[in-house]
Amino acid sequence: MKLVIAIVKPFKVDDVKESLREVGVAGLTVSDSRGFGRQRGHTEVYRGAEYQVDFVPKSRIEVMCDDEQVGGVIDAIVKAARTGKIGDGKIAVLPLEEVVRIRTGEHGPDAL
Amino acid sequence: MPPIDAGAPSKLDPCAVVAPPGMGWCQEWTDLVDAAIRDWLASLSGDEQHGFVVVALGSFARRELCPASDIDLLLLHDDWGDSDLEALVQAVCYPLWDAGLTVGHAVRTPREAVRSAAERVDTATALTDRRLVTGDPGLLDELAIRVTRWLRRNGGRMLADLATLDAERHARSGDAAGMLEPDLKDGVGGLRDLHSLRWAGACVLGEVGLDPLVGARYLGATDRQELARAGETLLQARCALHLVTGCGGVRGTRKDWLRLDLQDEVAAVLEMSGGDDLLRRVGLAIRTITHLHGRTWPILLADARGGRRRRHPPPEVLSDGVRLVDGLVEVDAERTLATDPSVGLRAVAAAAIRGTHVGRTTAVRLRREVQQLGSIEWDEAGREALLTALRQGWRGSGALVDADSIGLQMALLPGWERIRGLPQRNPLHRYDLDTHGLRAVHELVAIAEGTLDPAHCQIWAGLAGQGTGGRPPTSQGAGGRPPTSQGAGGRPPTSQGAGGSFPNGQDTVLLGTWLHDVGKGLPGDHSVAGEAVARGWVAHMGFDAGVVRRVGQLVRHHLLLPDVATRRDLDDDGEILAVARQVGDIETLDGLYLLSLADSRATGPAAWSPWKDGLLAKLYSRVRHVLIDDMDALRRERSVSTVVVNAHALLGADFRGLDALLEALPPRYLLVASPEQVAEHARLLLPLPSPGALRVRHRLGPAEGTATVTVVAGDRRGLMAACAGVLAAHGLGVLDARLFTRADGVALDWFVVRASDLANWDRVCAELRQAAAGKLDVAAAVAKREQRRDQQPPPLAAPIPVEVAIEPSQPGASHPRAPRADRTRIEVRAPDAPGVLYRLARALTDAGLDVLGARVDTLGPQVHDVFYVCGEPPPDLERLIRDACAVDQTLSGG
Repeated sequence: MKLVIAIVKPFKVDDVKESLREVGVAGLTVSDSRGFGRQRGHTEVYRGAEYQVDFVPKSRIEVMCDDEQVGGVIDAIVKAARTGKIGDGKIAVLPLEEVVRIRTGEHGPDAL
Repeated sequence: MPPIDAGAPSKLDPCAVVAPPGMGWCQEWTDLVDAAIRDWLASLSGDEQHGFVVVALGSFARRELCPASDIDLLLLHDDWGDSDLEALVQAVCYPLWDAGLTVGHAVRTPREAVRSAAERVDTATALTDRRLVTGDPGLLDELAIRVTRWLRRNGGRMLADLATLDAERHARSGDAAGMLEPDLKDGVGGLRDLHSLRWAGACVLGEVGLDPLVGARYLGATDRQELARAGETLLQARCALHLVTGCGGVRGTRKDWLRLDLQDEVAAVLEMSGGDDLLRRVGLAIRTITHLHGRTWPILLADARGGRRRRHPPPEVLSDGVRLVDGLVEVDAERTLATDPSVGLRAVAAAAIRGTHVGRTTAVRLRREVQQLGSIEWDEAGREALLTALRQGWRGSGALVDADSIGLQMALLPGWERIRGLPQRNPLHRYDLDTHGLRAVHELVAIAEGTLDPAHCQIWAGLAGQGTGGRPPTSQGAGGRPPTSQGAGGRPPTSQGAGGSFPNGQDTVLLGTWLHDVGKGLPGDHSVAGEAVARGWVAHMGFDAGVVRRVGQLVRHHLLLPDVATRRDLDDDGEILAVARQVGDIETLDGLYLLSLADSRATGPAAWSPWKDGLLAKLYSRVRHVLIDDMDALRRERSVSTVVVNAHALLGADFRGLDALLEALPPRYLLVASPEQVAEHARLLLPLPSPGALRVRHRLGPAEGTATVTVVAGDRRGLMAACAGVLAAHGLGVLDARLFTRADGVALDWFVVRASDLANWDRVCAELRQAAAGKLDVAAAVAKREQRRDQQPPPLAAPIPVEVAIEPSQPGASHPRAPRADRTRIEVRAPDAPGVLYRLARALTDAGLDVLGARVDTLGPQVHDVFYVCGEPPPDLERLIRDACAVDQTLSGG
C-alpha cells in the first residue's frame, strides 16, 4: 500500500479529483497549505526583490492506494494538475504500513 | 511581440567549463550563460529587441559566477504587457531553472527598478553592478542615468544601510580573519567585504569599483593590487569548493563555508600542496581584505556624512612625529624607520589606544620602507610601544592587524613569517597561530579587568608589583604624552605611572601570552620548542635576562595547569606538590593561571567550560598555598578531622551513626569529600541498602551547567560502567566520577555530569535502579543513543587515533596523602561518542580491575579520559582498551 501526496495549485483541485475518479480512486483528502520551490514563490512577471522568498497558496491532496494503482494515480494527477508554468507542484510516494477503516475495523487493502 | 521560438533550449551545465578554478573559470561559465540566453532569444530580430533588455546583476554582472552562484537577472522593459513579459521570462528563466540553476529574477521598467532599489539596499547594490546580456542598450542607458541620479541624492543613506548590513552579516557569519573554517563569502574579510568596498565607492563617488577609490585616494595603488590578489585567491577557493561539493550540491547559506574536512580536497583541485597551504593563502587573503575594509570604511562614512570637502578636525600631535589626522594615526613624512626604528610601533600603539587605525599614507609608506630595510632594530621606545599596544586588549585589535599588514612583526622578529597565518587544522582551534596569540592577549586583558571573576583583577594587580628592572618607564604610553586611556580596559595604568617599573610582571605575562604557542609547527613538544623561540625573540627585542627567563618559563609551562587540572587527581597532595615544584614561584603561578584562562577562551568554545574553570581555580588555589608555604592553610582546608566535625554540625545532634559509616569507607573518602557531601551521603546511606537495591540523588553540580548524581547501592562488578551507561543513554556526559566501596560491600559513587535541560530525571533514576538490579540492557540503551542523528560526529579531516598510556602504581611512595601508591593511572584519548566512558569502564571491570575514579575531558570530537584503578593490570590491557574505543568514525564526505 502507498500514500501518494500531491502539492498542486489550488484551482486544479477539481480537475485532479475528476481525473483520479476516472482511474478508480474512490477517496482522497484535501488540505490547504502554502509553500515555495526553487523559483522562491515568484511568478513569471515578478516585480519584487530578487532575494525575497514568498509563500504561495497550495493544495495538498493525499490518496491511499494499492501498489498496483500508484502509476495510474501519478499519471492522473500529473495530467490534471499540469499547466506547464512554474508552481505546478510535486508528487511524493510513501510506503504505507497499515490502514484501518474506523467504522468497520477492516484493515489492510480491504480498508482502502 | 511575436512568439519567441527558443526551440529546444540548449542545456547549461557548469561541469562543462574547462578553465581551472578562479577568475578564468568564472568568466568562462558566465560567457556560457550569456551565450545560452542570447541563443534562447535569438528568434527576436533587431527591431523586436527594442524595448527590453536582459540585464545581468551582481556576480553575474561582474562575470564572477561560481558553480553554485545564483544567476541574478533583471528583465528590463518599457511598459510591455504581462503576456509578452511572461513569454520573455519563460524563454529566459525556464531553461535556467530546468538546468537546476538558482535564478533570482525581477521584471521591471527602469523607473520601477530604481524604486525597488530605494526600498532594499541589497537590490540597490545589485543594481550598481549591472551588465547588458542582450537587448536594447538604450534602455540600459536610461536605467544608468536614473541610478546615477538616485545615488547622487541617496548615496549617504545607502552607505549607512550598507554599513548596517555589513555589521549584521559579520555577526551572523563570524570573524573569518584567521578562522580555520572561514566563510569565504559572508565572513569578515570575505568576498562580500570586497564587494561592499566597491559599492561604497558607488555611494560616495557615484562610480562602482575599486579604481574610483584609488583615484579619490581612499586606497593606494598597492592596496588595489593587494585587494585584487586577495579577491582572486578567495574566488579560486570558492570556485574549487563548489566544484568539490558537486557543482552546487551543497546549497543554502553554508555553501561558501570552507569546512575542515573539505580543505585537502579543495587544495588538490587547486593543485596546492595540501589543506595547510590552502588555508594559509586564504587566511592571509582574508586578512588583507579585513585590514583594508576596516581602514577605509570609517573615512567613507565620515565623507558621506559631512561631504568630501568637509572640514577636517585639526591634526593632533600625539608624540614625536606621530599625529592624529581625521581620526587616523599618521607619521610625519620626515620620520622613517631607518632613522627612527620605533616610529612604526609608536604609531600602532597610538592607534591601539584610540581604537582606530594607522592611516593609509603612513601604512603604504611604512610598508615600502619595511620591504626595503628587511629588518628593524629595537629600542626602549619600541618595547614600550609594543607592550602598550598589547595592553589595549580588543580595542587595539585593528591597529595590530595594521601592524601585520605593514609587515612590522616580520621585520622586527626574525622568523616570524613561519608562524604568520600558520593554520592549526584541528576541530579544537578556531584561528590560525598568530591570530590565536593576539586573541589570547585580548582575552587576558579582559580577564584582568575582572570580566570572569573580580578576583582576577587582584591577581593582575599583584603582578604589577613584580618587576625585573624597577626602572621607571622612559615615556608613558606611545610616545611621551599621557594617553587618553591605558592599561587594562582604560583604568589607570597599573604597570606605568606612579611607582611602576618597566617591564613588570604584567608585561612578561602579556609577552608570554602573545608568544605561548610559537613552538607549533616545529618538531617535538611545542612548549619546549616554543620556549627557545620565545626566549630568542624576547632577547632580540632587548629585554633583560630576567624578562627573557620569565617569558620562557611561561611558554614552557603554559599547558601545565590545564593538563593537571583536567587529568589529574587534585585531591592528591603529591600532584599539587609536583606542580608547585615545576612552577617555582607565585609570580609564575599567577601568570600561568591567567594565561591558561586566556588561552582556553581564545582557542574556541570546545576548549573551555565553567567546569574546567572550576578545576583550574581549585588547582591554582592549592598550588598557591604550597608556594606561599602555607601548608597549614592547605592542611586546614583538607583536614580530615575538620571535615568530620563540620559534617556532624551539618547533620545535627540527632543524627546517629556517622562515625560508624565513615569507618567502613576507605580512608581516601575523607580526603576527597567536602563536609556537605559527607552529610548528604550519610543521609543517603542510612539505612544501608539491601543487595540489588540502589538509591540515587541528584542536585546542582559544582559548576554552572553541571549536576551531581550520587548513587548508593550494593556493590557489584560493573556498577560504575552500568551507571555511566545509563547516564550516557540520557545524554548526561560524565565529567568526573568518584567511587568508593565500603567494607560491607556497599558502593558510594558520585558522578559530576554535564546537565541537560531535557533530562528526565525521574526516568534516569528509575533506569539506574533497574541497571543496578541487572534488569536493564545498558548496552542496548547506549547503542540507541549513539544511533541518534544528533549524536553523529561531524565530518572530520582525518580519523582520530586512539592513544593509551598506562602509569603503574608507585609502591612505597613516601607521602602519606599520596594515594597513588596503591593505584594505576590509565589515560585514554579516543574519538568522542556517547558510550565511550561506559565501554571503557566495562573493559576495565572485565579485566578484573576496580575503578576508583575517572576524569573526562572532551575537546571537540576527541575525548580524554583518565581512570584510577586498583588491581593487577592484565598484559593485554591496552588492547582491551583500544577495542573498547573502536567506533565507526565518519570521514570527510562533503
